[in-house]
Amino acid sequence: MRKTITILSVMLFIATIPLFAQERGEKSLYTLDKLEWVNPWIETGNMAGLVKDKAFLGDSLFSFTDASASVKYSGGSLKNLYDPKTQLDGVLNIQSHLHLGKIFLYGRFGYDYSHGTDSRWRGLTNPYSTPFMLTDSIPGNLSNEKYTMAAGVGIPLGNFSIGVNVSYDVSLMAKHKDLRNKNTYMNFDISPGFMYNGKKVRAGLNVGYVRNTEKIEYLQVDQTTEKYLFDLYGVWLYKSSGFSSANTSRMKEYQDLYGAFQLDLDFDGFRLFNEFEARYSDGGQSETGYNNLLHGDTKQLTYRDDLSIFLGIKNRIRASVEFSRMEGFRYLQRQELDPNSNVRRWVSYGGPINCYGRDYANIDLNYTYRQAKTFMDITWEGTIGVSGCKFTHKYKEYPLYFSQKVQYVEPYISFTKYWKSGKTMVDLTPHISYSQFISGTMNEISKIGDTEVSEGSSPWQLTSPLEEEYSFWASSKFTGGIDFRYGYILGSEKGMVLNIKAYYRITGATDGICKNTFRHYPGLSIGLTF
Amino acid sequence: MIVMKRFIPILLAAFLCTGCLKDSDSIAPLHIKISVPQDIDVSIDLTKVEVKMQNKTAPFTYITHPDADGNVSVAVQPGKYDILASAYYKSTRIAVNTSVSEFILTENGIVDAQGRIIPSELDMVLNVAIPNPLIIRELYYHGSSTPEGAFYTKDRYVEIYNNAGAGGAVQYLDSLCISTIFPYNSTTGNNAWEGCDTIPLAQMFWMFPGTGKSYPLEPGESCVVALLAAVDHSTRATSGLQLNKADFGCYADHLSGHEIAAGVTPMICYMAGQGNTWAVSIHSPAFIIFRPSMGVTEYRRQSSVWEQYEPGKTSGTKYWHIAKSWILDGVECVDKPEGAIKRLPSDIDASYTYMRSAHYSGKCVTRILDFIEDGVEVFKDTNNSDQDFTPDSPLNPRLKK
Repeated sequence: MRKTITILSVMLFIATIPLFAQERGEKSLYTLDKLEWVNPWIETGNMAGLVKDKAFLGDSLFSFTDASASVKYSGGSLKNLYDPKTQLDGVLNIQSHLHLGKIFLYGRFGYDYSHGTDSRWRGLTNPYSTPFMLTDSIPGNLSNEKYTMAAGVGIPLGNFSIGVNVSYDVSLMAKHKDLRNKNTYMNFDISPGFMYNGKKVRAGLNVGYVRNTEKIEYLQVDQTTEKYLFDLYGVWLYKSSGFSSANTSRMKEYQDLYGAFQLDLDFDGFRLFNEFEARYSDGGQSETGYNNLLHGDTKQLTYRDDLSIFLGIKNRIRASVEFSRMEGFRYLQRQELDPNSNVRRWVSYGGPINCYGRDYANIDLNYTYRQAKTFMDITWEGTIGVSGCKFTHKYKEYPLYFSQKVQYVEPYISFTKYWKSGKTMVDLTPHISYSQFISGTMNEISKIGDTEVSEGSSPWQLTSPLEEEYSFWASSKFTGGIDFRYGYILGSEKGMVLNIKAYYRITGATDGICKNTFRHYPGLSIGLTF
Repeated sequence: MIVMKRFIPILLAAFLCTGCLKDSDSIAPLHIKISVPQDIDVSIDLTKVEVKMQNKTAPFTYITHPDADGNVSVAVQPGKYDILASAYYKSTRIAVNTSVSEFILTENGIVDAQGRIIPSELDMVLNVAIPNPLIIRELYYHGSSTPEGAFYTKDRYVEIYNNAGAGGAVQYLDSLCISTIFPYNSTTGNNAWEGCDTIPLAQMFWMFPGTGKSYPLEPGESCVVALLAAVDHSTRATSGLQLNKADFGCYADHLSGHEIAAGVTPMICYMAGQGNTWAVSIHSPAFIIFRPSMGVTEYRRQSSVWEQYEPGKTSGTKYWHIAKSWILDGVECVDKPEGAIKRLPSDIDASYTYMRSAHYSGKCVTRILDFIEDGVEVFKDTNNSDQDFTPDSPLNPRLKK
């Protein structure tokens, strides 16, 4: 894996070197956020739309690169269950848009090393990706080393263009206290696409394939006390067992198929850009090794639509919606002796058992006004918006149902003032949001029929983490903060800018169990755009 | 473009298939017919029988009762289940029970041993329990810890009791045997011996010495057998047991892990496997007392009959077996019901008991007192350890004064 990372890193690094950087008047004003106004295609996975980078890269050889090194910290008692008590991240990031003749290229490389303290229950890099998880309860320090790489190419072909996007992410997460989980994560995404590139009407389609794997391995170093592994499923239902050398590793494997359709209408000052994506994800977890033990599959269908309407260079309205439905399945298995190999293997009987359902909806609407001379030369801008989220999930052990619901709405506002004097640029962005909890149910247990159902040797659910997680979700929270950027133009001919950015955010709960708890997020980065 | 031509139909097909992403339940119906053996001339009220269905892979227990004709219908999630049907009629001291272990119930039927789907119907005939005088009154297998906090397992014991009640017969311990059966632990993935008509002994068994009437046990009397070390553990372990006051100790010179104090009578060891210490599970032994009908000496001589490979195998380790009918009493201790395999036949122990406390808790399973008659205690013996034993009991062996 290290070899693959090295080769890809070198390729991407070469792709991002601005070999042919040329003078361009406004380049020193470029930021990645501003580029998205000029070419909204770069927010999509359709790299055929890279040809529209011409709007900011120009006709001749030219590139724009953003490279930065950052340090981020978060700490405080207001946190979701899986979050560490404190977390420190060191981040390197470089991404570049490049124009080589008729070919448009995009490259990105990122490295993130994070170290968290008192992390608990985190058996997967993303615990919400599936309702099935092997984990432990003992808090410990957790490190996560992540490499992210992506490369894209767009090639114009008359009124059409074609492109392909490839991304490859790997990470290694490790807990440093018994029980110790080591998670090796990989995500590979490839997506070819094409675009019709008319003068006023553009349309594109890209399809993609994702392969996602995560190997989870548990280890106990200190053997003097017995530690417990938890097999979680659904709404904190669980099985636990003392740690042994058996059943301590899993392989999570997923494949996604997706397709996205883009429409870009551009009529003299009015521009509408819309992307609709549908994604189908299918996969599951099995024991690593030979014996065919299955730990639960999911199938998920997600629809997403992002709409941006630009009125000149000053006004933008954005709306996005996302709906997803996940179903979880378990298998009924029996261990049987394979007469050929004389080894006991797990054999499945009956069809997959539909045991879990999750519905998720997210909507966001915002309006941005800019006082601007051009797309890049902006005096100030303000954004006001509102987002809302609702999700329900349910674990089914017929005739019992365990369900949980959460709904909240979050209005937000931000303002950015840009100053420029000589070679110096300063941006200041205060922002505030308020997440209002609307309604929810922590744990509703319902039953069909009159058969009495009782708990076995242990409770059905782990109530402590269930309550802790829900109390975080069910608290209304405000977030306030300020972002600061200092830019110094090092070479106006090449448009090279030294950027020093700092931010501070604070989130506090205003009601619920978490009331009057806070979390702080300071961060500092230094980088170059050129 | 060729790639896209192939991808788009696949993608469209996938999205069409996602119509299956709807909130549907997986339901497995089951009909059970409970009946009493025709040759039993007693009146049994079937509506009092509790039918307990234990999911083997999740902590869900479903409880229902049959109608007067013994019919029960349930609908549950497909899964692996145990069913225990039992009742105790205190006024007549009649206990009935029967069980079905670890069967797979799908939406379409039950999976039989050959992997075929058969209708979801079970006929369960109740066993009528006949009280046995010699019983296991208390079994301590969990272990404790040293004063320094390390695990400690050498202080374990079993107590055997004459439960005949006032006026009952004297029982003789001579040539009585104790052992655990295979697999050692209830957490083993699969019981290869399931369905066998003989019982495999784990590693070794121990016989009480004597010439026939050397060790009598009057009704209400008991004897304590130290399983590993019949010595004073009061300074070694938090259990504080003085097993140097046990009646018997499992001790043999060739077993380096065993100890015995002066004054304790050593049991006689018969190896049925290998090892330097009797490996009694600390979390889930299936413990039995038995007496071979032909005597132990003759039993050992018939190795070609009673010493067998694991079912389905023709090589590897050979295990000594006993007939089911030789077992006088047994208690099936499991680590936890979910995933537990059943090793004892249902007419010996229709269910199982289990410790709720963590391993090495210094607690035991002890039999529930049913009544006292003329000063003699009679303990509950319904061949259903779930009803007969109290788990997590403090240690209370009746040691010699």
